[in-house]
Amino acid sequence: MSDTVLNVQSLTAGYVPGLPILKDVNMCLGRGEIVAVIGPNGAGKSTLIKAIAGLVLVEEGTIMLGARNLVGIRPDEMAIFGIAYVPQTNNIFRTLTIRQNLMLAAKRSDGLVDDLIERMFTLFEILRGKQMDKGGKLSGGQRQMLAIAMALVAEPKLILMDEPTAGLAPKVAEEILSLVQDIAEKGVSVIFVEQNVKAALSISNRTYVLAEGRNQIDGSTQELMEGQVIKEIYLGDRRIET
Amino acid sequence: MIQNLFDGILVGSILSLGAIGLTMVMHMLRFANFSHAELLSVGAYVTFVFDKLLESMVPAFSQAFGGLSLTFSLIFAIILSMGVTGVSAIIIDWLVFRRIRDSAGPLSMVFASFGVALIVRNLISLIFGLKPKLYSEEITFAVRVSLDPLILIKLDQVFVLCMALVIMLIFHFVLSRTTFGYALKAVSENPTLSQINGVHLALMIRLIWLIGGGLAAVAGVFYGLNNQVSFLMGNNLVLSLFAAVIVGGIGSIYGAVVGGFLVGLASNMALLILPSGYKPAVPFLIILFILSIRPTGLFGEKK
Amino acid sequence: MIGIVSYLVFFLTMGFVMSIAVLGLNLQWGYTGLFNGGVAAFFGAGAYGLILLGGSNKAGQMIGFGLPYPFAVAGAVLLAGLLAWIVGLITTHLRHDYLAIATFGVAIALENFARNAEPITGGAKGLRGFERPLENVINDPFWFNLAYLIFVIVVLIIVYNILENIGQSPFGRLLRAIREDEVAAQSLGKSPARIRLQAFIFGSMIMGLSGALYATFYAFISPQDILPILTFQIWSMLIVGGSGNNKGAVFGTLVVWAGWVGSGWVLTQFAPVEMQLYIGTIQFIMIGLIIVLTLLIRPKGLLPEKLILSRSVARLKPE
Repeated sequence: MSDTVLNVQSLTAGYVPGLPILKDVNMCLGRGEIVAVIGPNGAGKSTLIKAIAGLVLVEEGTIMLGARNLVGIRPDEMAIFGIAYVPQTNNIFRTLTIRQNLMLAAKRSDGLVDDLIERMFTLFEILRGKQMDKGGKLSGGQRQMLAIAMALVAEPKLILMDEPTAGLAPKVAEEILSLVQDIAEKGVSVIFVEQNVKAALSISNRTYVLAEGRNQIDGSTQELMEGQVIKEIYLGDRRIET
Repeated sequence: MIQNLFDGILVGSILSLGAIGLTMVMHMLRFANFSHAELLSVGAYVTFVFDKLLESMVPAFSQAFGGLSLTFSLIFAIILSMGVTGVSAIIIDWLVFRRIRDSAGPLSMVFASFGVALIVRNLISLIFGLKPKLYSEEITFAVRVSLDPLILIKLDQVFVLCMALVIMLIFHFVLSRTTFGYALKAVSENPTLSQINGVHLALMIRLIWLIGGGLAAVAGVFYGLNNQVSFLMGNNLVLSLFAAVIVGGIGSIYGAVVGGFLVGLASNMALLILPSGYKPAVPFLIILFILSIRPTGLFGEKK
Repeated sequence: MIGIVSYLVFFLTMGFVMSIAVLGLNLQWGYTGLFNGGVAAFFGAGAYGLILLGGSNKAGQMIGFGLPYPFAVAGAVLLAGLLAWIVGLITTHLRHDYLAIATFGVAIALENFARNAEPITGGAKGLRGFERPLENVINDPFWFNLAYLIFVIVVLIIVYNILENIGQSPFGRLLRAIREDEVAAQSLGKSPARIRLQAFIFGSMIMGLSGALYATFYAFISPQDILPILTFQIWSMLIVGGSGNNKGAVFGTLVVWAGWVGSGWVLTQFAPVEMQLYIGTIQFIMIGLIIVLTLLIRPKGLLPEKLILSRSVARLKPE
């Protein structure tokens, strides 16, 4: 893989000490790559990206960003390393306006806040017109766009997204997916969790399948789609390794 | 009755300043802090000390501004006291509350806050004595604004009211126009999301104690200017402060301000029908009333 | 010799009377996780209730029903229960610190009322005119006090046993379930708020009983007896003994009471004249320190709660 950006090795992590959700998980990510993480409910997909974002207790293993182990870094420090995270729900501040949300998020980067925000409005024109509206007034799709904008505004090198198309109308979902591709083309690496397998496979370069907290299968999306495994798992023929 | 109205607004402004810090702590750390009211006492007494100190060091500072009890040294003393009181709040959290919230539950912190209040209040009494103190031994005369109905207003009271409003306006400005203000609101709404967006949570909590302590110091001084500086100040105000926070809605800073004024007004207007001896019971009745009809307060969010 | 024994009788009487209140608090806090910030109010309701109901209508007072002692006590206890019902109804289904604030407030309001409503409560002067039961029969003060001590001990044993039984009963399990995980308890079909209210009222009634016994002993009550410091004293007695634990509650009461009385004596003897005014202040700081230090060092108190085997399981243990 060209230019490894992130290397997760033997990761064992969970919310309660002694009760890990992730067991011995491995993953790696290259520059400008889009990696999808799919799997059944409770597989630990969200926990994986939360662990990378510093929100979950890591018991064993490493998360290497270049030469730096991210384990133990505070979530608010992740921006220093160019990492941004878009949670699945409650991902914007309802009591702040769109503009205020972005101003807060932009503080993480060194650049000029107004320029950065301007760039976001160019990307998400619909937010520009509503920038004085409080977050609580936005529709589901607009909230999601704002959440992604809040991650992008700090010019991250790596973006973690938890089910970015969940609950969105198909057209909006398509826009988001296309946006993710644009971001990756500019050199930003993306890891995203998805329940919608078709959506995930449509844009990812490589895919990891997680179940019961462990790696099941992974590889280039192309190969996986040609192979039998994904079909079997999702059509229910093959049992999951635990 | 207009006198009651004015007194109520004056007390209300003091309660508002004190309630802002309390509502922030109650929301962020999820416990009713019975020792917050003592920060008003601490602020008032520390100001007293600095005031006397500065006056003795620089006699020119004891020059009062026309008609007011306010002197240069008092102004500096208040500013210094805001810092000292804010830092004391951080230290108390570090010594007591932080450890308990790591090992036990929020109710244990309420508990501990009772203990802290007892200790602080009585230490103050040990150090400064049982007799109340005044910032200025000079008598400032009240201005008779109207004869019938009789309305007496001291210049000090006008000053306190104006300053309190100025401080609240500054706070409003910070909340609505600075990134720090956004961070404060963000942390109040969703601590985890604010961390994701680069806010250092532990630092914010320390700042919340600092700001709460600073505002409490100002409130304490204003109360002392309006009445007297006594070790019982916290004891006298604690229930009213809680009432203000509950009326406004825990976590809402604007609610705390509105709540403070409402409680101040209600307590003084109640004097029109109740004998004055019953005044301390009014905040309790307000609390019962609000909790029965709208427990989340005026601006609070339903959990 | 008689003097020391007399004093010991007094000490133990007061100690056991207060331990009854501490047991009531244990039901609220230790069993149910309720924070009562105004113990003095319910204690006071019982104390004032007793004097009002049992006292005779002497000169200057408007109220004094002169009821026979058992009825006066029952009435006092019910009065405390009524007060708890009003406060509890409004707050036990809300966020936990609301109960703390509301009970703290009711204590302030009650003391305030007692101090001001002179026709009813005697105001700051307090209420007299209560004749202690059987005092005309047992003339000698020493023997009367001794008899009263025995009476208090009997009441304590009864209350203790009732609470121990509750602890091991299904209701007790329910209380602990609600304390630990309210959502789970709700799924069992029980209404946690109602159960909490019941526990709160019952605990407060026990505190009222304690107040009634206190007032009986002194045949006098005044607002000075129901100041906020009483709440803190009772709390520190519970914490020192270990919450959730009835034995510890009684033990903690005697320890703290001994400390209070002892420190008062030491300070009076050895403190310089100028400091005599501050004896109370120093004692208050001590109570505060007891509370804070115990919470920091030993959150579970001196006698930690043992895993309470409910009776039915205990019976299954192999012979």
